[in-house]
Amino acid sequence: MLTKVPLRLAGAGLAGLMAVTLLLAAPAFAGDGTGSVDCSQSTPQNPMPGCDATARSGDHSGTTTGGKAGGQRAGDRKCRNPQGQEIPCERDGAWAGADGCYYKPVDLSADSIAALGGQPSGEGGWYEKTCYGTGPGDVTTGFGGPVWIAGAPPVVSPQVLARQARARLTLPDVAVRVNPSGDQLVGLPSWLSLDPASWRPQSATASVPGLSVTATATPTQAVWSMGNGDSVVCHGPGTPWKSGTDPMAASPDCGYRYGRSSAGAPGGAYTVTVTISWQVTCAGAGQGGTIPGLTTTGAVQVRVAESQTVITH
Amino acid sequence: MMIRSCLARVTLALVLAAVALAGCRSGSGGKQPTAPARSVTPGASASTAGPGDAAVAAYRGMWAAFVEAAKTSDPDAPDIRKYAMDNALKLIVGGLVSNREQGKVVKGNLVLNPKVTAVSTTEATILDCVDATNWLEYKTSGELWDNKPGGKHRTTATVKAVDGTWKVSSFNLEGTGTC
Repeated sequence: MLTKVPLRLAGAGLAGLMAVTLLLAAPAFAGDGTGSVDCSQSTPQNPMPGCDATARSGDHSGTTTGGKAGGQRAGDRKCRNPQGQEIPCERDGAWAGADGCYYKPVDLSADSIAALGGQPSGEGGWYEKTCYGTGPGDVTTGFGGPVWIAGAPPVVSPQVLARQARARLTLPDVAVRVNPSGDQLVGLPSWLSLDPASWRPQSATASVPGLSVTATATPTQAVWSMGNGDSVVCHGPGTPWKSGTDPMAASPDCGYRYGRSSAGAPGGAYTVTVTISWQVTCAGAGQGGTIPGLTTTGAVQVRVAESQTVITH
Repeated sequence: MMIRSCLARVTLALVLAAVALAGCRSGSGGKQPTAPARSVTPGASASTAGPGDAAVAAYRGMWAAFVEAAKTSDPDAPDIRKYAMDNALKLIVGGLVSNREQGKVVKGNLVLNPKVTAVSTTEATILDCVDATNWLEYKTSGELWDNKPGGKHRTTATVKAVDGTWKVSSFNLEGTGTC
């Protein structure tokens, strides 16, 4: 924990009376669970989300490693802090930035982003930022929540480029088909399929001079929620039903049979929702691997009738 | 050494919870957190359930949701959003994301002793001495994260009523040993 010892300097009449805050060389993190919400660890250099920086200004006399020059990966491929000292290029899964702090890209859910104040517009990314103290009195800051870094990434690494490339992927809309067309009939096979364009690998590339990474999203499965509580998992786009096919024949790879009409469902129809899972792999910069995947969804209203009519053509 | 001014005495009149008041001791290192003026609203000592009680319930709810979510470092736990908003929500969600990224979880129990120091129909201020002595960080593999002891943290919180629902909008938790 960060220990602050304010020392009052003598009498109240003393001109320029001030509280001197000594920062003892101590680790910045308490051993208990409050460490991640302790705003005393928030600094102007490394603000924590949810901590009011202005209200606490003057409260942080932690040695900051200010300075702009510095750099990572100079010509000799070594990483340096702004003082020119060599530092590890990677530390605890994060990469050194020009400010000597370390950045790790993080994946946030929509709920987390909303809680953090929403996604800022424009290019940028969410990172965990950690600034490690080096000298005595320097305080390690970070671990207080992700920060949005606008513009170009603060660090260049294959992993960061992979996130960028993934962010540039444009996945197709999900076009859902349930056949035979028209109302589905209780007891008869329904053929579930997706427009082929909904199920096509997509690629995008992010690069900086000398380094390029391509992310490729490949659909792996489609989960069909049939609107009545049942769901069907298919590992392909399914086969479209063609007119002339025996109405009693089931889809060879992605089908369902409704057991009850949709008359009792809201609006008299089931809402069929399809969620496609995409595996994202990245390649480039001498590395390859899988990064967290993506999903797309689509929906269609399906009426299911009790009629026993046999469809003929 | 036990009694320190970290609790406003007047608020003892508030019958909030039967939590032992042993919560506050002076920091061993001679720390003297400069005491901001505390506006204690005498009217808040009414024993009938009122805004103060609702505010304290929201404050306790927030910590309970945080403690639960911290067991698995789940920043998307719905309960957190029931009791926290704005900066308080940012702080907790951000902290849980950080914990998740580090492979850290928090286990054990947290002891609260909140006092309402100011209250109106739509806003309340709470002063607490959050006792995290037994609420400790663990690696997801099961061992303790480090060998540092937990401690007590002077905490102030602002709780607001929006459309009749009280939520903590911000809190400021200070370092170990500040109460």
